[in-house]
Amino acid sequence: MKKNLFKYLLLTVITMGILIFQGCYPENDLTYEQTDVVLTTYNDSVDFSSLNTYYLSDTVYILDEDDEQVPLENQDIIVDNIVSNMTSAGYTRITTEEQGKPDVVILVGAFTSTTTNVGWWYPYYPGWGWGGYPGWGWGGWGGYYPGGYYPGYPYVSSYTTGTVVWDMANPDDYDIIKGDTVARVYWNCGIQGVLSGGSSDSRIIKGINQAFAQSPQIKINK
Amino acid sequence: MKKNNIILSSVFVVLFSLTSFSQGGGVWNFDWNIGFGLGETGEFISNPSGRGFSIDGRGFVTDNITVGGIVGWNTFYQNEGFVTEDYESGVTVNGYKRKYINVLPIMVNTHYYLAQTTVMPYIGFGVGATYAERRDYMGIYYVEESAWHFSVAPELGIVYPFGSSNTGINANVKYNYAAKTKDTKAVSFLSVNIGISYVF
Repeated sequence: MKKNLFKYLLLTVITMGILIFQGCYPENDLTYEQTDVVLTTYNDSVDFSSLNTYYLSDTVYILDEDDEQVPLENQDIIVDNIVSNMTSAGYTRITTEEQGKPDVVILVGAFTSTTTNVGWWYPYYPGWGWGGYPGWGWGGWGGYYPGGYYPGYPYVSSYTTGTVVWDMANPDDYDIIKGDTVARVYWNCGIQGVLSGGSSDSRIIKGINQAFAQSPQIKINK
Repeated sequence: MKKNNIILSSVFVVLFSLTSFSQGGGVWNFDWNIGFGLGETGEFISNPSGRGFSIDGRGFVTDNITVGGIVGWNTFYQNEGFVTEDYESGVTVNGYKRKYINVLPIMVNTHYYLAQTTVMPYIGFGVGATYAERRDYMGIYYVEESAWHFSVAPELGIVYPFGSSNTGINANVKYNYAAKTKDTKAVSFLSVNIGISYVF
């Protein structure tokens, strides 16, 4: 009679084995695209409708290179798509000094590192020397983010990640923090994961479009 | 960890000793669990869970009362695809969202058998600890809540033995409630459990 009991136990073990094999977290093997996350934050004290022009460098630097500034390989696709979305949002890009001083500046950077010990993605890159801005002597500045800007979203990750980030800031709207001049960030975006894995270009475009789509607040032609 | 070890050891002692030293035989149930989230659990994951299993051992201490224990495991899961969510302070996140709750109840229980004829209907009540781990994923990022909860589980069921053999079918409906803790929400679900009974 005990034989039956062992049969059932065996059956149970096999069933549980199947469940364990499926794991506590079924369907958690993601495609590269499914790992992509788009995060945007806008500064709700800014009147975006008062803005009009912006400056955006053609160069996208890799931010995790400590000393040297290395341009990202596929920077054109990033710059082109941010520019076309900014145009759709009603902004005018200025490219020469003769066009006057822009209302805001957009700084674009990328993290290509495989480690993700950078907070939500990157809240701070102090004193990132930013070249290429024509005139005005604004070289070297770090944006900052008013308190409470980041959701408490802890993470654990061993994926290879690559993140494109950009900030909209007005260098004339700044605070002095510990003797440094830091511009307030009006809008910031991070598209996480898009620099790794397959079909990166289409995911970059999708991510940039999504960042604008989920930020209707920054539109000036509502 | 110490607390968990105490809970685990005490439950296993109860589970295996009670059934063996009871003179009047007992029942082993091996059940598949189908769970339906209730309350905050149902709001978080509305999909029913078919990923659940439990082993339940009961020893007769009188003619119609058993005392025993149960261990189980249920996984609730919901895939919401790509979603956009707003957080405080102007933060918006778009990502591939999945939600999970894994529930591991370990309880002592007692059952009262209303009859022991061709059908053995019973009512029962379990009390013990439930480990629940709740994860809310966006892409590869997630928020996790996990804790051991005090829990209770009233149930209603039948054992239907096959003829004169000591094997039968067990079917029951159980309300599983794991009380909220200081940092984590309550977990509650209704489960329909179907499986094999071994009556000895």
